[in-house]
Amino acid sequence: MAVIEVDGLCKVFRTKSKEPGLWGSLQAVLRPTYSEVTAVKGISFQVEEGELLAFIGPNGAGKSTTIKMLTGILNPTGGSAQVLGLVPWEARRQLAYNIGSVFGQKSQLWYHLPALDSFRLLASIYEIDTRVYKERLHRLVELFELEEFIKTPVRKLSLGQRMRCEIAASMLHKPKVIFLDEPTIGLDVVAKLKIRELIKRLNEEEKTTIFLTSHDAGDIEQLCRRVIVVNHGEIILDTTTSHLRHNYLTTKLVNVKFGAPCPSLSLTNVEILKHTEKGVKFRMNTKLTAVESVLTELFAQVKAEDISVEEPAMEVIIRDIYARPVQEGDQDAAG
Amino acid sequence: MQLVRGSLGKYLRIAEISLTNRVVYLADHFTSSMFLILILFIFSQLWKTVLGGGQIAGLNATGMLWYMVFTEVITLSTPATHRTVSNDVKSGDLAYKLSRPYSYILYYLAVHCGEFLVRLLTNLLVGAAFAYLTMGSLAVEWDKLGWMILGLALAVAINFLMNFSLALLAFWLEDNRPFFWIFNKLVFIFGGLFVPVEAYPAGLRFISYLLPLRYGVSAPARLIVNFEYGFLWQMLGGQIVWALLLSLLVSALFRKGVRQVHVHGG
Repeated sequence: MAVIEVDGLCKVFRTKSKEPGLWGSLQAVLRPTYSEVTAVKGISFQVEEGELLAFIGPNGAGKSTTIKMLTGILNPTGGSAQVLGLVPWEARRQLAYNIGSVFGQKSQLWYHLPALDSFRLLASIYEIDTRVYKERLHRLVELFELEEFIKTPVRKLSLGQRMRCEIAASMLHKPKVIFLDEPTIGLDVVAKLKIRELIKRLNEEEKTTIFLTSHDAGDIEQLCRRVIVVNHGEIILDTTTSHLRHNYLTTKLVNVKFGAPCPSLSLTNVEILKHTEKGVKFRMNTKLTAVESVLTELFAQVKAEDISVEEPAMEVIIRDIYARPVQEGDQDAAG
Repeated sequence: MQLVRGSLGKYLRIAEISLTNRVVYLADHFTSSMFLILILFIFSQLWKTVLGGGQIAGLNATGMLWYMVFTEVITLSTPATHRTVSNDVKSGDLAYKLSRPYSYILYYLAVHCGEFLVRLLTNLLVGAAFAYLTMGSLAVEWDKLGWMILGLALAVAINFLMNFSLALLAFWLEDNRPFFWIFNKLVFIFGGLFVPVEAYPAGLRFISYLLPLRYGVSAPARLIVNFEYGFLWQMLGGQIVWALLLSLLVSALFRKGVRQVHVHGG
């Protein structure tokens, strides 16, 4: 059963335009001119109950605007959408009882107070019965491992701890659908992994439908079964993550720090970008060589102290999607 | 009981958390209350010199200073909601505020009340202590305290609604500070911040009577200092009418503004 149905949704913003300099400012006051920016251009898709969908794209692609329309915060310029059978911008308050949202760059927690105070407030806002709230809180504290810092003022938490509290706060009323807008933005690797693990558990254990936006390809690869790629307000790809991984997430950037100096190194089918006595940075294509065989070849020559593998940037993935013809497995593709 | 736990309960909890949050700033509030001492000191000297043994609008020098304690306390304790709403729009925090099952207007009314209460207590403590030590005590009719609190509560509501109608301009213009600056100056004059509006010349008094400003500042202060039933009924009538009219205005502005506000931030 589809919990989110979007048909031809579009959003046009009217923004004031101004020429540079003092004269431009004066002109803008006396004779303002406006320009229209189309943030979302008639997108259509459906999300099934219990699905963990990645809605990805570079900055300014229209991801957040879409989320804001689906949560009822923004009114669309055209098209239609239903979330849990309700039109979000017409029944915003009614819908709010059944959905949750996390905006990675904003906070819903009271900055000077412990997260527990914000949780109590949210329990009242969502009219959760005291007994149910206590049980739910206990479950979320356990799941998100909040015990250690739930009574610490939010301003003293690390970004990773705060984000765990933010997601837990959005889950307090047991929403059927949760919108996560860049939940891993700005987090270090360890915190990112923790958040990803929690999102996965939420989806598996609570059967919550998760609509995740991110511009971090790692979020998608490790979490979602389906991915929608947007660029310039349009859907350019709607496919499975395995299809995306196989066809577009093939380039990896590998950084290796040596345990002992290694002046020469020979690796097959990789592009060495930088090589010093202390380490090497190379790019490889998983379609040409398996990561395992490259690492085996590497370990035979040198002892590694530290290794990191970076996913291609979202911009590179988008460029690849445009560069390739429509393939089997792509539901929508532009370019 | 169900109402207290449900709809009303959530706004009481919002007011409580707003109050708790302001307690963190208690020391800051006491420090900023020092500004009140400076103003009251200047005016205590002024009224002693100007009035001597005379009166203005039925108030002697002591009465005038106590009147000013209450007008200043109300004005200084009123939170800058316009700034918060403007920040909501600019920072994109509006995304969270609008996606909750509560009324955005009532949410801010509750936040306003919680914050007002903390500021009121600190300012009143400092202001009343200064007035008592320099000019002597005020003869409060304690049996009328209930009416005074009711007048003050309606004044808080009116001040919130006037503030919030200006605050909502941020939905169109993002920066609403210039409007608030002008509004503040109007409160000084037509709200009767320094002198009860009843003492104004006829023309100025007429304009003041046409506006809601005095019901948020001058009227409740005057009632506390010089309680009269005739004045009470006239004040309550005016406050209720203005509270209703301003509620309609705020509600209409919000409905129109929320349809086109640009919620910033990715």
